[in-house]
Amino acid sequence: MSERFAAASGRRVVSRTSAEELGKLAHVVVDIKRRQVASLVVGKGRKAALIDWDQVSGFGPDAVMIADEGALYSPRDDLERDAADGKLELVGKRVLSDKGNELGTLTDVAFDPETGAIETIVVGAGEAPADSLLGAGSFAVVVRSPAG
Amino acid sequence: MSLLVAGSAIRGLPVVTIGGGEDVAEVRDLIYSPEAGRLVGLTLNKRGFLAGRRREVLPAETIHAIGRDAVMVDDEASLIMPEDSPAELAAPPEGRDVTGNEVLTEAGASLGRVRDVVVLVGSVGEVVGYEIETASGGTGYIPLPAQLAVSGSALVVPESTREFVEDDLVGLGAAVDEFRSRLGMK
Amino acid sequence: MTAVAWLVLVLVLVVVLLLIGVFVRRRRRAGGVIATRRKR
Repeated sequence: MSERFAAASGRRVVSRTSAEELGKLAHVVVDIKRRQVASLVVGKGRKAALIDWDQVSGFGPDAVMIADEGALYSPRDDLERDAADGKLELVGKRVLSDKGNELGTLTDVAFDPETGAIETIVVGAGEAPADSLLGAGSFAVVVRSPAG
Repeated sequence: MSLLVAGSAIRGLPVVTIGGGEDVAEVRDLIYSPEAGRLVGLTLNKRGFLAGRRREVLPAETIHAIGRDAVMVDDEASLIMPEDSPAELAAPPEGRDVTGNEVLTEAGASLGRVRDVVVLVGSVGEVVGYEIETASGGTGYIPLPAQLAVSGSALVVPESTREFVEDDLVGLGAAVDEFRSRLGMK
Repeated sequence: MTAVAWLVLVLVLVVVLLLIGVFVRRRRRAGGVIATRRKR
């Protein structure tokens, strides 16, 4: 069963120990090189906080459970600030092939909620496997061209 | 997979790093060798409104790919300082922009004026011909032979080029091979 | 001058400055298709 970024956006993030809602899932931060979810962004604006994937105890269909509220942290550097502001968000980014052709806009990402491994990215009408991801940045997400 | 692209379509394209997904520059001039029929490199502008030139240049060998929407490089280190690049790239010759040049056959007939070059993008850019505006105002494509004379104002082409003026890019691809074998090249 | 007149003046100035900026950018950034010289 995979999860998708677009569907998970806005999901409640709840403490497993206190049952308190800590905020809503705002963004998922991806480590492109490892094709893996790196961290989650909870809440928006000034109150936005990050939590590393290994501190997430369960990514469920109705709520994201975290064991320890203390694992949430405020952005500590520019990169984390960008992540908290949603600038690293993949959904909505232009997708370029490594041949220099625009393939469309990235509309969704499918991932394994148990491991955090990225499975596929959805571009326009099609999908690309996670291992075609080559890089991502402010201008575009770059994927290996299917044509080779 | 290779395709024919107009040189002017490459100008202004963003230069994007594959690993970083960042637009580090945009294409300014296309520098090509008419003798070798290949792209030598690109000079660059900075990205952004009201931004000027970028000192770094991009030699053709370090380009990963040229596509419809971007020129792809491995990383920003592919953009090198002019001092470290071939002379023609570091200091492109003045007054050698071929756009607008008159195309004259060796027999002295004019085939029209150069509007653009046609680049084959697959591995490294190969310049295969020119897009010309014919005397009647239409568009034609002529294959690029090796023994071409080029000045700041005119192009001199073999008389036989006249028979190879094509209407469209698709025909140009076929014309290039036939033209070259006719001239005894390749 | 009335407020409207000021507004119009400012808008015109902004438009003129933008046009100058675009023109300057075109000249600094204009590119071409350059043929290298034959090596001797």
